[in-house]
Amino acid sequence: MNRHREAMRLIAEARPSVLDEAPSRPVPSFPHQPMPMPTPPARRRSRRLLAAGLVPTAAAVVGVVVAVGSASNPPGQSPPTSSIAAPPPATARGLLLAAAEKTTTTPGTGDFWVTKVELHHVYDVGGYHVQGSSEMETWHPLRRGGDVTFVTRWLGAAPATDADKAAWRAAGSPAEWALTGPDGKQAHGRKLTAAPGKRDVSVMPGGDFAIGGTSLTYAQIQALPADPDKLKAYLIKLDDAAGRDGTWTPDQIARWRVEMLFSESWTLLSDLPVPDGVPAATYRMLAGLPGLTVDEHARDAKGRAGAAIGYAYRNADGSAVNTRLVIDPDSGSLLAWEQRSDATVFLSSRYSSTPPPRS
Amino acid sequence: MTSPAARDRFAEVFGRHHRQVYAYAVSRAGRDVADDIVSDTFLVAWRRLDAMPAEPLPWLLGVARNVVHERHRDAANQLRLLSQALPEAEGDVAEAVAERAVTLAALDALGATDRELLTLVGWHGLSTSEAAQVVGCSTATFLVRLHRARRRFEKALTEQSAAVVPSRPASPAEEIRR
Repeated sequence: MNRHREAMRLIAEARPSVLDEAPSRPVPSFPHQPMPMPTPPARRRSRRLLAAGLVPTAAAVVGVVVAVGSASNPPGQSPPTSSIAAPPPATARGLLLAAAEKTTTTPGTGDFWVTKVELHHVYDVGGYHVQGSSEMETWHPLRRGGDVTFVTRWLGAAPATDADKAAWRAAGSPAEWALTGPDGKQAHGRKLTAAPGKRDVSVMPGGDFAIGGTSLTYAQIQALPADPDKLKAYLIKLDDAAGRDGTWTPDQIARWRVEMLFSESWTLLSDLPVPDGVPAATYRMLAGLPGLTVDEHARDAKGRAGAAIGYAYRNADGSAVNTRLVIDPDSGSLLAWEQRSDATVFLSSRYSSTPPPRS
Repeated sequence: MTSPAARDRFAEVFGRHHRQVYAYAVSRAGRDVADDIVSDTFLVAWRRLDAMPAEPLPWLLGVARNVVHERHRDAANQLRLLSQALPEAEGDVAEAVAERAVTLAALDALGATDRELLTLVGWHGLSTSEAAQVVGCSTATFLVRLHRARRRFEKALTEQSAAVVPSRPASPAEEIRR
């Protein structure tokens, strides 16, 4: 059992039973019919609280993760990258600098920033694994205070490998699965279906764009630096402000920052309506990070060819979680983010002047 | 007038999920305010029934999360899971109690943000993508934050083990050896 599962097992087992002592109560009766919520005063007080209210319905049928950990090295096995002092492999650096030359920003203007991704995940259904996916479109208003709309659809699930397919047949080829939680118990009767689901639209009070443990307005995003060093310094400043206790060694802080910059590069390239020059600065910033690996002949979960830039997130026990940013170095396009049994496949981003669908 | 269909839908969602919202409220802000958080959450759910997705649990926990932030932030910041869990611990065998106490103490030693991420996945039966919806970030970002939270948890666990284990009651065998 790897360290991740061990930690999550300990937490699951320590779940206090007081959590389940909800008093029996009748359905509350509220006198008025459903109506739009007025803006609560707290929204003006803190923009972060607003962001906390975003609850998309992505993959509403998605169940409990049991990390399959295929991308994780067990303790004792050395991760592919070993020292943060090592220079980046020339190829990773070269591919990233090439991508920086080609990459562009999404053209156009509008009232909404619309991003579309596909989420893939491998689920433990007891005895074998199935891979499920869902599609999520996020409509983010550029104007502050507007609602964010999430349009999601479950795309279906199937046994993950040939061995899983055999186990699935042996189990009677079920078309749906009950999911188990990290504690091995079935989680609230949650189900996963082989068939695709219907489109689901949900709307939540708006928020700013999340990055670096904080959130930025559209105007702040337009002011992001297009210089890689300044961009890096800015992200470190945001991250430092998000808080860290005082017991970290300089080495731990250095490694943390590399992980933070690596992961926020995905945010910059996929989630945010950044101005010209920022995607190129992001690739150039990445090119300067230590400890990157490269797989020049990678494919994302949709089979698109590209290069995978890898970084091993280090666990306390020396095991690692390999994370990959898959890009097309020829066009500078973003393809996917992969970690453990999860993959987020980037499909598109655009501006829209027409409002999102309402149902 | 309220439509009967809206009432039925609300009643169904309440019946199915109010215990899970309660569990989340206790884990975030403690028993004293859990009932209030459940009430406030379902008031919002009633008013925004049109926005509620077909599978509403992540949405409901997201609303509850906002209620905690807006009205019970002090309770959330001062919460000690260890003290919340104490009454039930007495009936258990000492070793299991000690292990769970160390885990809860380690969770208590973390910031409220880390504790929330870990318990969303560990205690409330959410997948990472659902938990990401609750906290309002992408799944990729959530995984990164969870990874960091878990690392800090492991560090805290090591420190708490050193602090808590020596005070564990001696077993009968150890008594005899003395």
